Amino acid sequence: MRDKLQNIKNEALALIIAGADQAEKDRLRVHYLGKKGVLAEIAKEFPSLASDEKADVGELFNDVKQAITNALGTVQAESGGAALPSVDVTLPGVKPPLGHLHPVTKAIAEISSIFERIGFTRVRYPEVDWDWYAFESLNMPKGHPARDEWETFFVDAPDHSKLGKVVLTPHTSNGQVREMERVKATPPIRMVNIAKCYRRQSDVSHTVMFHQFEGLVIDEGINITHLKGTIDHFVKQFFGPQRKSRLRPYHFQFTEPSFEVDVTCDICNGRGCKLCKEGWLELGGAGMVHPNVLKAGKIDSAKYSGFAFGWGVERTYMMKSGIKIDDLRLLYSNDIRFLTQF
Amino acid sequence: MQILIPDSWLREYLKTKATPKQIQEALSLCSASVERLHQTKDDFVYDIEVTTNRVDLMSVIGIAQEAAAVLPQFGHPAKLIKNPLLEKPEVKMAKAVDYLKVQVDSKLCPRFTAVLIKGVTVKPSPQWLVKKLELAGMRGLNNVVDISNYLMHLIGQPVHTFDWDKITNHTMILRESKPGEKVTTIDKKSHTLGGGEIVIADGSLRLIDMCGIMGGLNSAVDERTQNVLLFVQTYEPVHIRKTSMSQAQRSAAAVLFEKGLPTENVPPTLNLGINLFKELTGGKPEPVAIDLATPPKKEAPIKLDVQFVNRRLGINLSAAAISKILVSLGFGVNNLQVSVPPRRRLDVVLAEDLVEEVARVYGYHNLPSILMTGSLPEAVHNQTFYWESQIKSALSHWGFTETYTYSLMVQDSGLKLKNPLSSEWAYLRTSLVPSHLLTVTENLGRVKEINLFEIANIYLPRKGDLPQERLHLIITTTNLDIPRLKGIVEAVFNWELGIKVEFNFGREVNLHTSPSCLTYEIDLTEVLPQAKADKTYVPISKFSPVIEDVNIRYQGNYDQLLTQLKKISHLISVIEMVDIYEDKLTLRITYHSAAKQLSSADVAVVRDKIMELG
Repeated sequence: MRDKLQNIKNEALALIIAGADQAEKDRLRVHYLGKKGVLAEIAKEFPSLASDEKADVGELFNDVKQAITNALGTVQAESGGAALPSVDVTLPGVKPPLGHLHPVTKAIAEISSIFERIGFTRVRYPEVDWDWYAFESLNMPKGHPARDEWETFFVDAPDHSKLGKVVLTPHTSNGQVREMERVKATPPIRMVNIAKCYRRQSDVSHTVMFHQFEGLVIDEGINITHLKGTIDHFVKQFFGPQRKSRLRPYHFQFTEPSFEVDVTCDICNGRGCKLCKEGWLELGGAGMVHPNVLKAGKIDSAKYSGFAFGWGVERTYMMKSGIKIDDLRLLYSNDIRFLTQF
Repeated sequence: MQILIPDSWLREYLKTKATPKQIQEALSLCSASVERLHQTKDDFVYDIEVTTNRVDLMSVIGIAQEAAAVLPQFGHPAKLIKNPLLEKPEVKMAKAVDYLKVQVDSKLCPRFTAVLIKGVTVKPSPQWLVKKLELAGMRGLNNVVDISNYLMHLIGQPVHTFDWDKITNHTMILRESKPGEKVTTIDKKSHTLGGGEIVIADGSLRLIDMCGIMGGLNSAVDERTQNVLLFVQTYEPVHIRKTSMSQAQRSAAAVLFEKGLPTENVPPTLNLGINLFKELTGGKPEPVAIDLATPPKKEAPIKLDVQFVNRRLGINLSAAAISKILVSLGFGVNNLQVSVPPRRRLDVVLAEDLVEEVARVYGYHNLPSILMTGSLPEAVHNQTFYWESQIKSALSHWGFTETYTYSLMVQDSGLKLKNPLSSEWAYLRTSLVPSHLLTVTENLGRVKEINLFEIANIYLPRKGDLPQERLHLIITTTNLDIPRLKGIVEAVFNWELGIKVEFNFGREVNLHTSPSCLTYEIDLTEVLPQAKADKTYVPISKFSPVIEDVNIRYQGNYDQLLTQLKKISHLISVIEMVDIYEDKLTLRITYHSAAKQLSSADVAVVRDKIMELG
């Protein structure tokens, strides 16, 4: 019982010293000193003590009670169950400090979780890479005019004898052959590569730095219907079940066939308006992986086939309903008045 | 590439009852995207985006052929009424003519044709021609120029005209230019050539044409011209592209020539031109045209396999259905041996290319949408993304706002761009600090206190290799309270990630102060591998601790004091700082033993030793 009492004292004093406010002190007072409190309960055990112990323990008991009482301070007037003071609940609340995640982070989190749900693995490949991965392995030999579409930055560094120049990746497609190498040319592959990209362009709809997400699926028997299925899944999950997608013929060197993917415009619901092209907004490119790209990744194109798509994170996010950012450069202005709106 | 096609012009070659809206839809879904359909007083104009591989669609004929192939898939019967490209030219062609002496490098010019038309009257074109050109986005100038533009738009084959009397000795030498040679083009711009441009020199050795890009001013047709040399060529595409880029002259002709045009389209174009000159200028063409042609390489037919096509499409088409689609596009099909028409020679090479033709005409919209089954790839054990999101979540919940700053900066980092867009973005950054200092400066005064963070790669130069990309975290605050920042850093790393990290000033480490803010930068690539999500449970002791505050003298090094205190007794389990005032520290000491309940006497012994310290 001595131990018990000592324990109660330590515990009570620790709680009181830990910065209890008045309300907490009131609660502790009731807990320890009240009519059915801890000390009252322990006093009930007195009769069972041997008589030679009684005096000793009694002294300790009083000691403990006094210490707790002192620590709690002078007794407050009993509130006796009086009504709460009237409070204006329309007064402003006290907010915790609010921080904000950047919209690009939110978009990336959403995009990767949508693809992870259907078995894609998120990877990250170099943002500064060799020409071989950014262009040549993607069926774009040196001097090919298709390279012009990517307004590419070059790093002032010596060329690699085999892999060529050092470029800031103008797209995430450099991850395609790198992923094929990672799996040692042994599909299945279901990757989503999300990274920074760079192009020499800056206007309302272009920033020199932006993000892309690249999907790549390679396995036996992969065909266009799987590409359509994957894109439908993404569009419905990301934009909402009422939005539709479609594929249009397009051309990219590293896919054959190539498509442009459109989704219905959220402003006019696909009826056609000033902001869209006859009811459709362009999401980005996609296609079946070109046999020359599989070859560059040492994958047997007679056995395996695949599809790929690579879209801008910012652009895709802007096409969600209700964001209304009219100048993409705002995303990288880092104006605190912009950032704290998200 | 964009092209405007008036509906009435299209229907001169295409017979269909489909409305312009229906044509727009069919082309967009199965061929080239009709981005807009403009309505004029009595016509419609298709505004079409043509992909770079389909230069054959940069023409009225090309679009008419595609429309005839795709409209039936939408239930609209359609057919091509006439195809001037397949008609046999009436004009006689010869390797030499008496009115023009030529010397042509056939590597630069796979097909060279020209014909002299005498007695031309240069005057405005008739209304029908002017109207066509205007609807197609061009301006009517005079009959000679308008004929060239009309032919280019109809067939996709550029055409040039010279004033025959301005060509010295009626002699042409088509060759590569030498560095430093000069030519003034008809837009009156003077060009100094770098060498390697395709040019034509005349009998006086002066340059009279920058081939495939723009003609020379000194040989141009003007209002007094009587004798015109009608000139239709194809050029080696790489030379054209190089010249067009280096001379910054992106003419419509250059855009077509640089894709590589089929030599087969040259004679029909010349033939149509001769007829138009007769009709519109009163000119009398010479009976024989010069034609120097390198025969195109014979390509073997592409073998197609029904199963291969269906495996890629994910449906079951019969050999007959596949053939029907390919034939409608102008391919020759014999038992699924497919021969490619000249105008498609550039973009159709592999069986995969034919799959695309079949798939798009069949209609991507008619294919089902199916999520793939099959085995999943082995998961990569990469916890970086998880930890990144934990850090971002914690910091944003503690009042920090995330930034995304450009990875490019003005400060010399040793990693310079060869072609920066502006001097403020000339180097790849090796630290996130400069970007955040800039962000703070730009935001000062906008809010009371700025609290920012960012996770991004930095790039470190390496000899003979790609720069090393390392993931960094930076925390920036305009609250200059260092212990507060330290508390945040410790909460992130010690608590959320379970790793001890350095917090100090200096080169190796990461705390940076400026008059307006504090920044803390850390290399996540280095520390994240030690992060762990698992916490170890320590059983809650049945003995309660004794807690008390003590005042002690502060001598300027808290860390040292802590070490001394901990040495005093194993009963001291926690030491927290409550307050610091001048040289006095108030510490909250927790005494605890896992073995027994501490008595006042146990604690007193330890306390006395603490007090001895100060």
